[in-house]
Amino acid sequence: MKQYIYFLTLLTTLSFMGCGENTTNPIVPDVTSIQINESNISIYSTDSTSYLSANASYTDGSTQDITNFVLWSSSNTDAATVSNNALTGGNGNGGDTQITIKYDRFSDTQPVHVHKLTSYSVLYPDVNTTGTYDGFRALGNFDNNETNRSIATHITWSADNGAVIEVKDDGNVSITFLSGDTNVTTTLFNETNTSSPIGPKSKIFTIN
Amino acid sequence: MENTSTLKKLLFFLLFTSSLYSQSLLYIGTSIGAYHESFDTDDDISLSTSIANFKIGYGNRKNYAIEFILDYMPNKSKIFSSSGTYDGDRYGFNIALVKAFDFDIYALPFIKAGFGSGYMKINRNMQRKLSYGSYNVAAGMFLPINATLDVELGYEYRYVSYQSINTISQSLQYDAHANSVYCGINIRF
Repeated sequence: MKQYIYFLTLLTTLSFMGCGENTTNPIVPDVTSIQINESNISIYSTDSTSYLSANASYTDGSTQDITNFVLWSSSNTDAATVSNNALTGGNGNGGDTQITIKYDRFSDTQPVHVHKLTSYSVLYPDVNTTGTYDGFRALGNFDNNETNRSIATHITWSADNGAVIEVKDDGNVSITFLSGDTNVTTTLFNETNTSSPIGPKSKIFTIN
Repeated sequence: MENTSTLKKLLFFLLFTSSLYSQSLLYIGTSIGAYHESFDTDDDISLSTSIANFKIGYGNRKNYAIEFILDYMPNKSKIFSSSGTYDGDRYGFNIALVKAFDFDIYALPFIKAGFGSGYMKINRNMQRKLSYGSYNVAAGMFLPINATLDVELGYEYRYVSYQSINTISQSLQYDAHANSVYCGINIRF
């Protein structure tokens, strides 16, 4: 009886060992690289935010969007800053930087050129009576001969005499005027030298 | 002086051997078996290998016992590693409670339940090791050879839950069901 049980068990064990197969294709494809999708990136120093994106490539040839999973950084924050994947010109008014994404042992870098603002003009609507006026805009000229490009960032609008300023995302500004003299001033990159081509510009609006 | 030392050694040896033959309830054991694991996926993902273990137990052969088990499984699958490389051998540790029954027949049937964990090396760009947890139940029988030696035959089912695999965009976690049959010996002190 004993020998029979031992033999039966051994036979069952051996037959069990013989069956079944080992999977030899990975259940999950492995990451082979990560990359910033945009190349030859250039922006203007006063543009609104540009959004970059990143993908991961896998051993099975597929790709996945990993924009929100990687760490973004800029090597020269005076030229441009990157917060998550949002790219904006820095406080230095132009320059070059390297944007890097990093995840674990993977990384990728792309150069970014930021065009410098060389001069600008301000468009003012006609202001005759008290009330709110749209259409205040600043237009910039850049070092690549781009002209009259709407200025969306690094510009400060200020006004006295109790005027209320609303700056919109696209760079357009509306101002609510009261009666009297109102001085509207624009400042770019905190430049205080009025003789500079990007220095402060002011205009007085008189409403009786 | 030398005679005293020899006498002490002799006394110690006699005490030691007699203690082994007393009802200390301690036992050690080892076994080998066949192991087959199927993953909870739409694709047919499976692993077949052998399993070896070494254990230390405490308890009565005819009643309750607790076992601390180290297991080892050679591995020739590529379930988690990148193409071209195999997953590493598996090393695990389990704790199981045993309940044996004495029906006054030759064999002593038993059931076991326990849990454990383990790990294996994998070859992925962001992961070099994968751990897993498991719950296990088993049934089988002890076949006593004499007062200190018995053969153990058993079947074990394991539910295995693996550590997540990081693919950057998502974290993928897999579970598997494993069946094994094994044969081993236990030495009871």
